[in-house]
Amino acid sequence: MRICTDKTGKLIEMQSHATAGTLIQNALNAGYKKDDVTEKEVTAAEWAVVIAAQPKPTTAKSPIDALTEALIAKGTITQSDIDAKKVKA
Amino acid sequence: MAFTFGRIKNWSDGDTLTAPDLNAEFDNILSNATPASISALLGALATAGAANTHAVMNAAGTLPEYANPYFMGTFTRAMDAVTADVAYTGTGFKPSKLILITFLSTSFSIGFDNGTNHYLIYIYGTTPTYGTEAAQSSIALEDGSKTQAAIVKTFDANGFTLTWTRNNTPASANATVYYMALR
Repeated sequence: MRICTDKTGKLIEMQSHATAGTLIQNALNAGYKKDDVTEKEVTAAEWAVVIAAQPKPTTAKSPIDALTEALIAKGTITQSDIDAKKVKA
Repeated sequence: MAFTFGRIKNWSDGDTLTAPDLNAEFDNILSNATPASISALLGALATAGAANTHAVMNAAGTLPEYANPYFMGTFTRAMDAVTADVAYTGTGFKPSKLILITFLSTSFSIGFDNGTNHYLIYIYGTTPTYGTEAAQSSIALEDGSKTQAAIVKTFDANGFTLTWTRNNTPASANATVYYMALR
Protein backbone atom coordinates (compact mmCIF):
# COMPACT_ATOMS: atom_id res chain seq x y z
CA MET A 1 0.00 0.00 0.00
CA ARG A 2 1.38 3.40 -0.98
CA ILE A 3 0.26 6.82 0.14
CA CYS A 4 0.97 10.34 -1.02
CA THR A 5 0.70 13.24 1.41
CA ASP A 6 1.45 16.93 1.35
CA LYS A 7 3.69 18.81 3.80
CA THR A 8 0.87 19.17 6.33
CA GLY A 9 0.19 15.44 6.36
CA LYS A 10 -2.99 15.80 4.32
CA LEU A 11 -3.68 12.63 2.39
CA ILE A 12 -3.65 13.19 -1.35
CA GLU A 13 -4.08 9.59 -2.40
CA MET A 14 -3.73 5.96 -1.33
CA GLN A 15 -3.38 2.99 -3.68
CA SER A 16 -3.19 -0.61 -2.51
CA HIS A 17 -0.89 -1.99 -5.21
CA ALA A 18 0.66 0.96 -7.05
CA THR A 19 4.16 0.83 -8.43
CA ALA A 20 6.59 3.36 -6.96
CA GLY A 21 6.24 6.84 -8.40
CA THR A 22 2.63 6.47 -9.57
CA LEU A 23 1.19 8.60 -6.78
CA ILE A 24 3.83 11.32 -7.07
CA GLN A 25 3.11 11.62 -10.79
CA ASN A 26 -0.62 11.82 -10.09
CA ALA A 27 0.02 14.62 -7.59
CA LEU A 28 2.16 16.51 -10.10
CA ASN A 29 -0.58 16.10 -12.72
CA ALA A 30 -3.00 17.64 -10.22
CA GLY A 31 -0.83 20.72 -9.82
CA TYR A 32 1.24 19.90 -6.73
CA LYS A 33 4.93 20.81 -6.70
CA LYS A 34 7.40 17.96 -6.36
CA ASP A 35 8.94 19.39 -3.19
CA ASP A 36 5.55 19.65 -1.52
CA VAL A 37 4.51 16.00 -1.71
CA THR A 38 5.82 12.70 -0.37
CA GLU A 39 5.07 9.17 -1.51
CA LYS A 40 5.83 6.18 0.68
CA GLU A 41 4.84 2.58 1.29
CA VAL A 42 2.95 1.94 4.51
CA THR A 43 1.75 -1.08 6.41
CA ALA A 44 -1.92 -1.63 7.21
CA ALA A 45 -1.26 -0.46 10.77
CA GLU A 46 0.46 2.72 9.56
CA TRP A 47 -2.37 3.34 7.11
CA ALA A 48 -4.91 3.11 9.92
CA VAL A 49 -3.08 5.90 11.75
CA VAL A 50 -2.88 8.07 8.63
CA ILE A 51 -6.56 7.77 7.67
CA ALA A 52 -7.68 8.31 11.27
CA ALA A 53 -5.96 11.69 11.22
CA GLN A 54 -7.75 12.86 8.06
CA PRO A 55 -10.90 15.01 8.01
CA LYS A 56 -14.04 12.94 8.41
CA PRO A 57 -16.65 13.16 5.66
CA THR A 58 -19.85 14.92 6.50
CA THR A 59 -23.01 12.87 6.31
CA ALA A 60 -24.21 12.89 2.74
CA LYS A 61 -27.50 14.75 2.41
CA SER A 62 -30.17 13.72 -0.06
CA PRO A 63 -32.80 16.24 -1.20
CA ILE A 64 -35.25 14.73 1.30
CA ASP A 65 -32.66 15.12 4.09
CA ALA A 66 -32.20 18.79 3.18
CA LEU A 67 -35.97 19.37 2.98
CA THR A 68 -36.53 17.67 6.33
CA GLU A 69 -33.86 19.81 7.98
CA ALA A 70 -35.40 22.94 6.51
CA LEU A 71 -38.88 22.02 7.74
CA ILE A 72 -37.57 21.25 11.22
CA ALA A 73 -35.70 24.57 11.25
CA LYS A 74 -38.90 26.40 10.31
CA GLY A 75 -40.85 24.56 13.01
CA THR A 76 -43.21 23.00 10.50
CA ILE A 77 -42.38 19.52 11.78
CA THR A 78 -40.28 18.07 14.59
CA GLN A 79 -37.77 15.28 14.72
CA SER A 80 -40.35 13.33 16.72
CA ASP A 81 -42.75 13.60 13.77
CA ILE A 82 -40.03 12.10 11.53
CA ASP A 83 -39.18 9.35 14.01
CA ALA A 84 -42.84 8.40 14.35
CA LYS A 85 -43.03 7.71 10.61
CA LYS A 86 -39.97 5.49 10.52
CA VAL A 87 -40.44 1.80 10.11
CA LYS A 88 -39.86 0.00 13.38
CA ALA A 89 -37.64 -3.04 13.26
CA MET B 1 3.89 -30.81 -25.40
CA ALA B 2 2.95 -32.54 -28.63
CA PHE B 3 1.20 -35.49 -30.14
CA THR B 4 3.05 -38.75 -29.76
CA PHE B 5 3.09 -39.48 -33.48
CA GLY B 6 5.22 -37.80 -36.12
CA ARG B 7 5.02 -36.77 -39.72
CA ILE B 8 5.41 -39.37 -42.44
CA LYS B 9 8.17 -37.56 -44.24
CA ASN B 10 10.53 -34.72 -43.34
CA TRP B 11 10.14 -32.33 -46.24
CA SER B 12 13.04 -30.35 -47.69
CA ASP B 13 13.39 -27.45 -50.09
CA GLY B 14 12.86 -28.62 -53.66
CA ASP B 15 10.85 -31.72 -52.77
CA THR B 16 7.84 -32.37 -54.96
CA LEU B 17 4.62 -32.73 -53.06
CA THR B 18 2.25 -35.09 -54.79
CA ALA B 19 -1.39 -35.70 -54.11
CA PRO B 20 -0.66 -39.10 -52.51
CA ASP B 21 1.97 -37.45 -50.27
CA LEU B 22 -0.47 -34.81 -49.11
CA ASN B 23 -3.27 -37.28 -48.58
CA ALA B 24 -0.97 -39.56 -46.62
CA GLU B 25 0.04 -36.73 -44.26
CA PHE B 26 -3.61 -35.82 -43.61
CA ASP B 27 -4.57 -39.47 -43.20
CA ASN B 28 -1.75 -39.81 -40.67
CA ILE B 29 -3.17 -36.97 -38.60
CA LEU B 30 -6.80 -38.05 -38.94
CA SER B 31 -6.12 -41.64 -38.00
CA ASN B 32 -3.66 -41.01 -35.16
CA ALA B 33 -5.24 -37.98 -33.47
CA THR B 34 -7.33 -40.23 -31.29
CA PRO B 35 -9.25 -39.05 -28.23
CA ALA B 36 -6.50 -40.59 -26.11
CA SER B 37 -3.75 -38.65 -27.85
CA ILE B 38 -5.78 -35.44 -27.66
CA SER B 39 -6.34 -36.03 -23.95
CA ALA B 40 -2.60 -36.48 -23.51
CA LEU B 41 -2.03 -33.18 -25.27
CA LEU B 42 -4.64 -31.41 -23.12
CA GLY B 43 -3.04 -32.95 -20.06
CA ALA B 44 0.30 -31.47 -21.04
CA LEU B 45 -1.37 -28.09 -21.55
CA ALA B 46 -3.04 -28.37 -18.16
CA THR B 47 0.29 -28.65 -16.40
CA ALA B 48 1.62 -25.53 -18.11
CA GLY B 49 -0.22 -23.13 -15.79
CA ALA B 50 -0.51 -22.56 -12.06
CA ALA B 51 -3.55 -23.82 -10.19
CA ASN B 52 -6.81 -22.01 -10.92
CA THR B 53 -5.33 -19.80 -13.61
CA HIS B 54 -7.23 -19.19 -16.84
CA ALA B 55 -6.20 -19.65 -20.45
CA VAL B 56 -5.99 -16.22 -22.08
CA MET B 57 -4.22 -14.76 -25.05
CA ASN B 58 -1.00 -12.95 -24.24
CA ALA B 59 -0.77 -9.16 -24.37
CA ALA B 60 0.51 -9.26 -27.94
CA GLY B 61 -2.38 -11.47 -29.00
CA THR B 62 0.01 -13.99 -30.52
CA LEU B 63 -0.01 -16.94 -28.11
CA PRO B 64 -2.20 -18.39 -25.40
CA GLU B 65 -0.94 -18.30 -21.83
CA TYR B 66 -2.21 -19.13 -18.37
CA ALA B 67 -2.85 -16.23 -16.02
CA ASN B 68 -5.19 -14.90 -13.39
CA PRO B 69 -7.36 -12.47 -15.37
CA TYR B 70 -8.81 -10.74 -12.31
CA PHE B 71 -7.25 -8.24 -9.94
CA MET B 72 -8.77 -6.47 -6.97
CA GLY B 73 -7.49 -3.46 -5.12
CA THR B 74 -8.45 -0.25 -3.40
CA PHE B 75 -7.63 3.44 -3.50
CA THR B 76 -8.83 6.73 -2.12
CA ARG B 77 -9.99 9.90 -3.81
CA ALA B 78 -9.72 13.25 -2.04
CA MET B 79 -13.08 14.99 -2.28
CA ASP B 80 -11.45 18.40 -2.63
CA ALA B 81 -8.99 17.28 -5.33
CA VAL B 82 -9.05 19.17 -8.59
CA THR B 83 -10.38 17.67 -11.80
CA ALA B 84 -7.58 15.55 -13.29
CA ASP B 85 -6.58 12.26 -14.85
CA VAL B 86 -5.31 9.79 -12.25
CA ALA B 87 -3.28 6.66 -13.03
CA TYR B 88 -3.77 3.48 -11.02
CA THR B 89 -1.09 0.80 -11.36
CA GLY B 90 -0.24 -2.69 -10.18
CA THR B 91 -2.87 -4.87 -11.84
CA GLY B 92 -0.20 -6.91 -13.59
CA PHE B 93 -2.08 -6.88 -16.90
CA LYS B 94 -3.99 -4.53 -19.17
CA PRO B 95 -7.59 -4.63 -18.01
CA SER B 96 -10.52 -4.48 -20.39
CA LYS B 97 -13.26 -3.89 -17.84
CA LEU B 98 -13.53 -2.43 -14.37
CA ILE B 99 -15.97 -2.80 -11.49
CA LEU B 100 -15.86 0.09 -9.01
CA ILE B 101 -17.52 0.34 -5.62
CA THR B 102 -17.21 3.82 -4.18
CA PHE B 103 -17.98 4.83 -0.60
CA LEU B 104 -18.16 8.13 1.27
CA SER B 105 -20.07 8.52 4.51
CA THR B 106 -23.73 7.80 3.69
CA SER B 107 -23.21 7.57 -0.06
CA PHE B 108 -22.01 4.76 -2.24
CA SER B 109 -22.06 3.72 -5.86
CA ILE B 110 -21.47 0.60 -7.91
CA GLY B 111 -20.11 1.15 -11.39
CA PHE B 112 -19.05 -0.77 -14.46
CA ASP B 113 -16.74 0.54 -17.17
CA ASN B 114 -15.25 -0.93 -20.34
CA GLY B 115 -13.65 2.29 -21.51
CA THR B 116 -16.56 3.02 -23.82
CA ASN B 117 -19.63 2.44 -21.70
CA HIS B 118 -19.86 3.81 -18.16
CA TYR B 119 -22.67 2.49 -15.97
CA LEU B 120 -23.43 3.46 -12.41
CA ILE B 121 -26.02 3.09 -9.69
CA TYR B 122 -25.77 5.28 -6.63
CA ILE B 123 -27.47 6.01 -3.34
CA TYR B 124 -26.91 8.83 -0.89
CA GLY B 125 -28.44 10.45 2.16
CA THR B 126 -29.85 9.15 5.42
CA THR B 127 -33.25 9.32 3.71
CA PRO B 128 -31.82 7.83 0.57
CA THR B 129 -31.99 9.14 -2.95
CA TYR B 130 -31.27 6.53 -5.60
CA GLY B 131 -30.20 7.00 -9.17
CA THR B 132 -28.51 5.62 -12.24
CA GLU B 133 -26.01 7.09 -14.67
CA ALA B 134 -24.75 6.07 -18.08
CA ALA B 135 -21.97 8.64 -18.21
CA GLN B 136 -19.99 7.83 -15.05
CA SER B 137 -18.72 4.69 -13.38
CA SER B 138 -17.76 6.05 -9.96
CA ILE B 139 -19.24 8.82 -7.88
CA ALA B 140 -18.76 9.97 -4.29
CA LEU B 141 -21.44 12.36 -3.12
CA GLU B 142 -21.29 14.87 -0.30
CA ASP B 143 -24.76 15.89 -1.48
CA GLY B 144 -26.54 16.09 -4.80
CA SER B 145 -24.22 18.76 -6.17
CA LYS B 146 -20.86 18.35 -4.41
CA THR B 147 -19.28 15.26 -5.88
CA GLN B 148 -16.25 13.54 -7.30
CA ALA B 149 -17.10 11.45 -10.35
CA ALA B 150 -14.96 9.35 -12.68
CA ILE B 151 -14.87 7.37 -15.88
CA VAL B 152 -12.17 5.21 -17.40
CA LYS B 153 -9.95 7.25 -19.68
CA THR B 154 -7.59 4.44 -20.71
CA PHE B 155 -6.74 0.87 -19.87
CA ASP B 156 -2.97 0.67 -19.49
CA ALA B 157 -0.36 -2.11 -19.59
CA ASN B 158 -0.27 -2.39 -15.78
CA GLY B 159 -3.48 -0.65 -14.71
CA PHE B 160 -5.88 2.04 -15.80
CA THR B 161 -6.38 5.79 -15.82
CA LEU B 162 -9.53 7.47 -14.55
CA THR B 163 -10.65 10.97 -15.39
CA TRP B 164 -11.95 12.44 -12.14
CA THR B 165 -14.24 15.46 -12.21
CA ARG B 166 -14.90 17.55 -9.14
CA ASN B 167 -18.33 19.13 -9.10
CA ASN B 168 -18.58 22.33 -7.01
CA THR B 169 -16.52 22.38 -3.80
CA PRO B 170 -16.86 19.31 -1.57
CA ALA B 171 -15.36 19.56 1.91
CA SER B 172 -12.03 17.90 2.62
CA ALA B 173 -12.55 14.15 3.05
CA ASN B 174 -11.51 10.94 1.34
CA ALA B 175 -13.75 8.62 -0.61
CA THR B 176 -12.78 4.94 -0.63
CA VAL B 177 -12.97 2.94 -3.83
CA TYR B 178 -12.76 -0.85 -4.11
CA TYR B 179 -12.23 -2.15 -7.61
CA MET B 180 -11.93 -5.31 -9.61
CA ALA B 181 -10.09 -5.17 -12.91
CA LEU B 182 -10.85 -7.82 -15.51
CA ARG B 183 -8.36 -8.73 -18.21
